[in-house]
Amino acid sequence: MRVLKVELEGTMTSFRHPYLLVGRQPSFPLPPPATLNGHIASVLGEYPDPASFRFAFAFTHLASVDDYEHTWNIERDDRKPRKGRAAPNITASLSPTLRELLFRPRLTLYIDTPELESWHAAFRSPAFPVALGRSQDLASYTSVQIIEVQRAEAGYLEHTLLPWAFRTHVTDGQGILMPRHIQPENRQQMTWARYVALMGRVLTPFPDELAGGRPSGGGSLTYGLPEDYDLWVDPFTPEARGRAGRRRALVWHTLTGPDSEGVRLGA
Amino acid sequence: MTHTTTTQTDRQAAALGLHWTHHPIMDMAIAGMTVFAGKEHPEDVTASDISAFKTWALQYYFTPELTSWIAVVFTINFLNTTFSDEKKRAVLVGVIDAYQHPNGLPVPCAFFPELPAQQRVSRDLFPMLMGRGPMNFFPDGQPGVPLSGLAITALQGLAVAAPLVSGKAMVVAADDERALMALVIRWQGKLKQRANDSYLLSEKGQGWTSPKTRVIEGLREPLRALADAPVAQGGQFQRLRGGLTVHHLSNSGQGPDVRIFPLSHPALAFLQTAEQRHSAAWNALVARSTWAARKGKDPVDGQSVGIYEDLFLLPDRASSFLKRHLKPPFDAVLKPTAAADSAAVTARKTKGRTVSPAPPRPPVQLAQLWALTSTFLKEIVAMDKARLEALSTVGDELATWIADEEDMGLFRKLYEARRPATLRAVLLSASLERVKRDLPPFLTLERYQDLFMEGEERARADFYLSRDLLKMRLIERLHADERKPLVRNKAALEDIDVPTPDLTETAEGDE
Repeated sequence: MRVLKVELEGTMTSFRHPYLLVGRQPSFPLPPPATLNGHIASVLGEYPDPASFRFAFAFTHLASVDDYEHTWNIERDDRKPRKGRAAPNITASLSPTLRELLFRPRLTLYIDTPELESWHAAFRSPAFPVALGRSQDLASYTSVQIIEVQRAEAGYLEHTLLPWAFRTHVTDGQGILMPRHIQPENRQQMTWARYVALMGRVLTPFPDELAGGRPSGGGSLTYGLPEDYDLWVDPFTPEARGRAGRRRALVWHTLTGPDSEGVRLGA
Repeated sequence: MTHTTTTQTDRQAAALGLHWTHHPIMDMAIAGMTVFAGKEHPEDVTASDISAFKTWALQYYFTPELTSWIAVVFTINFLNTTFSDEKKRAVLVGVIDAYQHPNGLPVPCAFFPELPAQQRVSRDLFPMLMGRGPMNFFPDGQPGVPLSGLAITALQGLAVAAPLVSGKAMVVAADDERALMALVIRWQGKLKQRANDSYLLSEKGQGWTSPKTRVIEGLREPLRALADAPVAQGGQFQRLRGGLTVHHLSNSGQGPDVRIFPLSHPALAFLQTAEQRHSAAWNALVARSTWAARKGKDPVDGQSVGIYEDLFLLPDRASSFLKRHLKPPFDAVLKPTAAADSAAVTARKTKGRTVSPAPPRPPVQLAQLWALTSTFLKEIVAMDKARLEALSTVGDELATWIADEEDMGLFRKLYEARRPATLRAVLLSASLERVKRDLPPFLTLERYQDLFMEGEERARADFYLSRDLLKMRLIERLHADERKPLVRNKAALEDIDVPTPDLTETAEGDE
C-alpha cells in the first residue's frame, strides 16, 4: 500500500486540553486527531473531506516545561459610546497563564488517501506556514515522500494513539479523552473520542508467541491485537531489538469512520 | 400496609438520563451523585435521588467545610459572600434543580448531546473554565460551554466525590469505572462525615495532604474486595482495565492550577496482585516505608506514604523502586541496624514534615517477599519468565555452594559487586573454582550474556536490576538454609557494605 509519509520537526508545541483554561494549561502528551486534521487543512489550504483519508502517526518530544503565556482575554464591551467616538466593540485585558510546552517535537505522519499525488505536492508546498499546536509553534518538514508500507505478522506500536478497542489488549498507555473532529462549518459541533496514549513502545506478538491468548515471549507484548486490526509496518523504520522482523506498526485513525473510539459528545 | 415493587421499567421511567461521559470532571461528579444515591450505575439515578441530595446540600453547603471547598471548586462567585442567606439558598436550589428547567438553547449539551443546552456556563458552574466574559478558547467567540440542566445539576456531585487534598480538588479519570466508583465510595463516606462534623462544630476539619497517597490508600480495600467478586471471563480474579489519571486542580480565583498524575496499568495491576495474593509481604513493605505528615494536618489523611507515592513512577523507575522498597528487607538480614539507620536518616532529611509513627511492623518473610518481587517483575518490568527463572537458578546454585563451602568470601564479593566488570570477574572466578572440581560453572558465557549483557560488550540497560535480583535471591536462599550460614558467619559479615536506602526522595535517579 502506498502512503504519504511526512516528517516534521519543531522547537516547541502544546496541545491544550479544551476545558482546562485557567491557571495552568497542561498539554496532551500527543496531538489530538482534531489538531492533526487542522494541520493537514493548513497544508491543503482548505479543510479536507473528513471521510477522504485516514492517518497514522508517531510523535515524540524531548522534554516538557511550563512557561508563561500572555493571554489577552477578550470580552464584549457593552459600554455606551462616548460622544463623538466610535462605539466600543471589545475590551481586552492581559492575563499571564502557565502553559505546558513540549520541547523539540518530532512528528511522523502517515496519510492514506486516494489523493496521494496532490497531497504529496501540497506538503512540499504548503498553503500556510507550517505550524503544529499553537499558531506560533512554527515547524518544518524534513522529509515528504510517498512510501510503500508492508503487511507484517508482527511489529511495534510506539508514541501514538491507539483506538479504545486496544485498551484490553495493551497494558501500557494512558486512557485519554481527546477532540476527534471539529466541524469547520459549525465549530460548536465537535466529536470526542477515547484513546490509549502510548508514550513508549510495545511489541506486537508473532502468531507463535501467543499461547492461550497471553504473550509467552516476554517483553512489552500486547495481549494479542483486536480482531479487525490489519497490521501494516513502515519498512524504513529500525527493527526492534530481539526477534528480527519487527518494525513500526501503523495504527490508522479516521475522523468520521465507525471506529471503536467514537464517542458522542457535543462542543 | 402496601408494598410497592420497583420494576425495571419503573426505574427506567424515573431515571434522569445520567451516563458516563468519559470527561474527567463530569464523570467524577456523576460518580458522586451515583454513590450518593446508593446506585451502581449512573443510569439508575432518579429525581428522588437528586431531591435527597438537595436536602443534604441545603444543610451542609453553608458549613465552613463546604464553603471553603466551594471556593476552590466553583469559586466564591457560586455562593457569593455578599448574598443574604436566603439568596444563597435560592441560588443553590436553582442550580440543583436545573435539570427540571427547560433546555432552550439551539445547541446540544457538551456532555449529554442528546439534550439541548440550557445555558452557557463559566467557571462558577464548571471548574477550570474562564469567567463569564472572556471569549477566548471558545468557538465563534461565544463565551462558555453549553450545558443542559442535567449536566449543571450533575456537576454538584463533585461536592460528594472530589475531596480537597493539599488545597486542591481530586478529580480522577479511570479507564475502568469500577476504580472510580470504588474511590468515590471511600471518599464520599469521609466527606459526609467531615461535613457533619463541620455542621456540629462550625469549623473546618484538618486538611488532607499527599494526593498520590490518598489515591493508593483509597484503592487498597476495593482492590482486595475484587478478589471475592465473581470470577471474570477467563481470569482468575477480576482485573481492572487500564490505569487512571489524577487531575489535582484548583479553580480558586486565588491561584487556579491543575497538575496531572497518571497511574499506569502495570502499577495498578501490581497493586491489585499484591493486595490479593501477597498481602502479608505487601503490608510489611508498606509498614516499612516512610510515613510523614505535616503539622496541623489530618492525622490519617494528612499522611504521605513513600511506597504509595512511588507507585506513580512505575513502570519507568522500576529499578529504583526495587532498590528502595523491595531490596532493603533482604539487606536487613545482613545488617539489621541498617533499617534503623535508614529511618534515622529519613527523620533528619525530611524537611517540613514530621516522621509520624508508621503502623506496627509485621515481620517480613523473605520467601513471601521474593514471591511479591516476582509479581513486580512480571507486572511492572514484564520480565521474561525464562529470564527470571534463570536468575533464580543461578542465585540458588551460588547459595548452595556458599552454604556447602562456608565461602563467605565469595558471598561478600558478590554482594559488594557494583559494576558490571566487577560482578563478571567475581562470577568468572567462582565458576573457575567449580570447574577445577569437575563441576559445571555457575554461568555459561551464553547465559551470562543473556542475563547481563546487551550484545558482546555492553551491559544490559537493566543490568542493575538483574544484579540486585541476583543478590536478593542469594540472600533469600541463604536465609532459608537450615544450616543458617549467615547467622553462623555473622562475624565475617560484620563490616559488609550494606547500602542505606535514602527514602526521603521519590525513586528518582537510577544508577
